[in-house]
Amino acid sequence: MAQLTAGRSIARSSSTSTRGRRTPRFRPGDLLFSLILLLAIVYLVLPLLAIVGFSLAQAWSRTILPDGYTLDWYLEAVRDPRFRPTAMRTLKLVVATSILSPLIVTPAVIYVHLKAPKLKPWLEFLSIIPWALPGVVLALAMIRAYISPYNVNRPFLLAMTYILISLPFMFRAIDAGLTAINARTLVEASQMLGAGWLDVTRRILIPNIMTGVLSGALLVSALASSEFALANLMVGSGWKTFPIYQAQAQGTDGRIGSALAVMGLAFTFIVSMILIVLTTRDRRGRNASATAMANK
Amino acid sequence: MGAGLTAHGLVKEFAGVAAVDGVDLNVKPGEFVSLLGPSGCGKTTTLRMIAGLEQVDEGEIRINGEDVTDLPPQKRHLGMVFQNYALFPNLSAFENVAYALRVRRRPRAEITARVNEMLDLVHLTDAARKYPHELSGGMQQRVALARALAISPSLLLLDEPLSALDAAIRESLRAELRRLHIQLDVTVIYVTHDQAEAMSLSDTVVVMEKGKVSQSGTPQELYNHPKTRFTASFVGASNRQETTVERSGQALAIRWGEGSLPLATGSEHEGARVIATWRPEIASLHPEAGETSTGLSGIIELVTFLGPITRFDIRVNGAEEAVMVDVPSNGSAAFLPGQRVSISVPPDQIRLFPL
Repeated sequence: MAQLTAGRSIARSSSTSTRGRRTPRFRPGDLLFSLILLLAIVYLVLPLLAIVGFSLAQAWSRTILPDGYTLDWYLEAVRDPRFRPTAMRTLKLVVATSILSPLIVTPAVIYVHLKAPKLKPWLEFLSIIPWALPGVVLALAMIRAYISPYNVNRPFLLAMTYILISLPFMFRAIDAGLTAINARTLVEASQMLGAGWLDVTRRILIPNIMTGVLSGALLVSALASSEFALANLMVGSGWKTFPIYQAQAQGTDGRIGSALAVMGLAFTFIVSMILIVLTTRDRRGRNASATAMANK
Repeated sequence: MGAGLTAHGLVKEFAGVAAVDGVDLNVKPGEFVSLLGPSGCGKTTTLRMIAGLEQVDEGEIRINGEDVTDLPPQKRHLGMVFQNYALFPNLSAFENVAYALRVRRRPRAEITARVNEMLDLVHLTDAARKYPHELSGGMQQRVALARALAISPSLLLLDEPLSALDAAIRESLRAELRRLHIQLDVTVIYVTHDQAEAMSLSDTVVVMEKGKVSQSGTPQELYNHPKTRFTASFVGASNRQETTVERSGQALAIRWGEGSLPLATGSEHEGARVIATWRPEIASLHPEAGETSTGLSGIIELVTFLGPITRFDIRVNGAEEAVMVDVPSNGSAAFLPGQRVSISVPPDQIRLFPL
């Protein structure tokens, strides 16, 4: 996009210099680029449009556009007795993971960044392993390790598993924040000024990594709200989550299933939007100075 | 108000290599001391040990007689200014300066008064509400200074504070530092690799090389009477040559390329291998008029106008490096590149260091 605009502005300035002719000159490259972009957007958006259309259609089997519109499928989905309990359970997971994940990971990352930077590559490597494992393997491993011997509360274990597999994201987000502000020197400056660990963490470190922590938390909650495989394997029999209900509804009636899918998509969309706003808005402010400082 | 500092036998090793290898310091109260040397000489590590940011492997540090070697930095009550300012990006200039006071839970009125006083001191009262990213490098460094001074430390440590700034700002901040030092009567330890900076600011300069102190003294002492080869070459410009002391008639002289320079009486003995150095500004140039058995002769290779002085690079036969001679600019018009000149060097200004 930026490339397009740049190309156009250059074209404009050179064309106005030729006796006020105002038609912007398109280079052949621009056309091809726009075409590819358009195709990509269509490819990505079309399935979404299809599912939204299907969820709103009275009937839609042989025509290009839906045959009449209705909100019936949404109403039926919400009225289903399974809707509320599963939605509440998923909501609990979302809240639990987005609170616990920062609480657990932040102190660890801060410690490693400041006191044991040589351990960082090891930590990164370890944090990727759960994420890289196939869902079945991970689920069975968790059950074997915690449920069979100790009978740990299953939903709690699921939340912790979500935190486990989102570790790489959390880790990266917080570590990047610490590096950007040159945390080590700031801590030294803080020590020279008489501040202990609690003070410097509270006053300096946390405020500056807030964006990183929040993006990490949002990523975890997006995961928790839409994850199916692990949930099905670990809690699926007695504690159905929303994605599990979504899958079941899809089996009984595709139109209700698509209504639920759209609801799930809407939630993820909202979360992503918040994430984007958070990470780009702050960038212009202090993070810009931090990167400037680090570049000096 | 300034504190005195003594350090004995400081040693610090990193991965088996001694960054600081037996350093002694004696800083008098109110003194401005610079640790001067090239990168890797151990000056920053020494400063960090004084600050408490590095653990001391061997040796002790005493501030006003009190042993602080094992005291954590928070308890040492020192002020430190870092090369990259290290301002807290999420706090305004005001809050940055107030940090040390807030951490000590001082009453609000006291904090406000003191911070304003400090910002006034560095002429940044208008910038109080600005954030570090909104300030220029010079302004940020001044905030850093105000922040370090807020708790009235008895010792101020500065780690190459002007290196990240451009020349014009550096000059003005240098003057600020001098002024503040006199006004506040605080002891200052200043680390730099810029010898002009060290010379212009300090009461005492400690020249360091490879973890050890090469020489310590006033700027004049170091410049005019360097005691080690390293000090002679690091402080100020000098012409140097490895050569042998030989007899030339009644007196001793040293070979310089194909020419020779007479030495003052009481110099090294005949036959000694030495490094000979002399400063560009002590020599004088003469248009070549016939053969001269004393002094050097050569062809002017390069003329560089440096403002008050003009530097001539002269190619002397047999000498590997060009010889530098500085002449006051208003007396130098007579000499042009390509011209043959003779150089006379006062014998008593030639310094010899045995090899």
